[in-house]
Amino acid sequence: LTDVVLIALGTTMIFVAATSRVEGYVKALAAQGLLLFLLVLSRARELEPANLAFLAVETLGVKAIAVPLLLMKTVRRHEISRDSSPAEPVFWPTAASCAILVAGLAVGAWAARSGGVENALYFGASFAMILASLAVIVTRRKIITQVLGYMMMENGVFLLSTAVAAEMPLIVDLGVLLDVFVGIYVIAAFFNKIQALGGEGDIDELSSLKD
Amino acid sequence: MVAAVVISMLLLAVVALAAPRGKAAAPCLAASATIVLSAALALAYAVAAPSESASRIASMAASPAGVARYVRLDGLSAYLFLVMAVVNACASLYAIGYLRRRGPERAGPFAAAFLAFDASMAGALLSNHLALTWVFLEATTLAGAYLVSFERERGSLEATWKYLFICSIGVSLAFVSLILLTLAGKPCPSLFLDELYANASALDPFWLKMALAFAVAGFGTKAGLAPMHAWLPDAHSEAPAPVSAVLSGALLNAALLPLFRILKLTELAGIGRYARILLAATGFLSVLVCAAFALRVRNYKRLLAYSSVENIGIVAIGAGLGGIGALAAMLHAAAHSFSKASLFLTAGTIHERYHTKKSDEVRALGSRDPLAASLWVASFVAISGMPPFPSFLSKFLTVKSFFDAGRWWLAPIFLVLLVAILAGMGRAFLGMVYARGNDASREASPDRALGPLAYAPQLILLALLLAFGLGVSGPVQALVEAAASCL
Repeated sequence: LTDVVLIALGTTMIFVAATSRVEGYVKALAAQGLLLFLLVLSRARELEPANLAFLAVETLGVKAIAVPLLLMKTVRRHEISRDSSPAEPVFWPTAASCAILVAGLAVGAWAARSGGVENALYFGASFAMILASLAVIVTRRKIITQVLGYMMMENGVFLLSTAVAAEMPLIVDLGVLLDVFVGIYVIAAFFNKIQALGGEGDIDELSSLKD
Repeated sequence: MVAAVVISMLLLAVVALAAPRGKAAAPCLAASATIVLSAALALAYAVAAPSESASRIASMAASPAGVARYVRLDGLSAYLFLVMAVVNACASLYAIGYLRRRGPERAGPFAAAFLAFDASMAGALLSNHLALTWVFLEATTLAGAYLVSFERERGSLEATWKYLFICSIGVSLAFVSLILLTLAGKPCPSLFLDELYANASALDPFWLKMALAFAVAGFGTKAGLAPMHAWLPDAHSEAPAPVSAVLSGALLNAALLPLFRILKLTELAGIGRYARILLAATGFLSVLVCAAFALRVRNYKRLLAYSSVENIGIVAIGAGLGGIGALAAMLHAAAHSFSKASLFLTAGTIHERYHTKKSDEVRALGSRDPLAASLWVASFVAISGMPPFPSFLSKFLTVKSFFDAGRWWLAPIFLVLLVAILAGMGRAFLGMVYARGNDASREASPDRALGPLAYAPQLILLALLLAFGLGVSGPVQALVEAAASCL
């Protein structure tokens, strides 16, 4: 089950690269939350019960339901439909995302050969998610899609942190802390304020400070 | 004691927030500055002057026993904590005057966020656990975001967004580095610095190198090292003056600290060369970025922010080169913090006079506010590396360390970049003081007295810089050397 979930997580990033619909991004984010929940369940035997409950609430409650709901509400309220025009080709972003996934898996395999890693796919998927999310943040034009990219990066980081969940539960709990605080702070407090400045939420509108 | 200091600052933050109409803001800021400065002096004494009373202070610092494991008191933490405490005390003094001139509206939340920010920095500097350091640095991002957005203008909101967003990405990458460090330590992972240092040779070099790369990207973002510095010119220039002073003078050092810790770890693990080259290269790039912008930026606060990128770069170069460079890095960290805090605070005073941040629109400062003009020029001289200020010695030692490290060919490039930065800053800053011009803002609003708190903190900082530059000896020398030995 773990391997299937990991491959599915990697595939969500390819879907994100291939779509320009912001609602599609939010759905991909929710799907990632659900997949991470399944992943936590698949490792249930290794984790302590309290830690398992905490992670289950975080993945299902926060990552799969609360954050996507909040973002979907924001997207609908501000009537943001697409990041780029439908006429723009999606071939290159999709190809780049596939390349990142392959590169991530290669890093995972390389790491496994260097020793210390039991499951190459685990690391490959998380590295690929982190890198592909960074690519989303750098290349997308809407503030909301950049926030979504950040949330996906957080999912990648969470995935990596679950690799050490049994030995260092503290690390995973801290990752959850990061998620909840920054996620809520970024979305709720500042995104709405920035949107209140007017405009269509394009990153180009935030260019009054430059040299 | 360390836990008590952090908790008392947080309690003062609550009091400042709860009091009606910001009445407790000034007393809380003053009380917190006094507590932090006293604690920092005591800890610095404990490290720099070994004696019976010093060891008593050191054991008190780690009490109660429950938190002892989480507190790290060595030369580096004591030294950077002292630098932070001085900058914080001067910025708090200035903030009291700033809030008085601004009026009671939102004074309470400002003081509360300021104190929470300071408490987080103190925690980050004195922590023995890398994940705890990370939590405290994350907390500075959240508290700092409110402070940067305090003026609630379009520019400050935009700057806050970039600060929050880019630093959050940086902090996430730093978190990845901690996970990788945990993997490097399998099968008995730990993030306690003393345990990591003790077991450094058993760490997996592959994961340690990966952790270092992510740490440079993550903590480097928070420290404003190029090319991850994009948020810094915006946030430092749009924040209120006392906030800019602590952001530049204290936070950047606090963000560099975990990088220094991981650098030491790589050294102990036998892969220090790789880490040092990476850090020095990032530092050099930071100096290059500042040189590229110094000649074209026309906003004096942004110019100061770019100068922070440069100076943190110089600290990183020194730490990366090692040897005498480590000593230069520590000297430069304090020299930059004090002079940059003084410059940002004076920039706040100038902004209150002229209501503009464009250096071309500030003219004849010397005749309009001679004291501010004197502070501005003296602070500029202090940061530009001229004797008798300590940045002269630190830059000189950095150049010497290029030769010591066998990379003499970098010295002329470094010096040319410094001259270019000096030319850019000098043209803008000295023009503001000496150039004559049409002073429209003075006709629009006549000058009012800003009070002694708009000048006194900078005078204290400059006096400290002079004393530091004229004679680094005795316990101060011991403290700087103790800090450098931790790199």
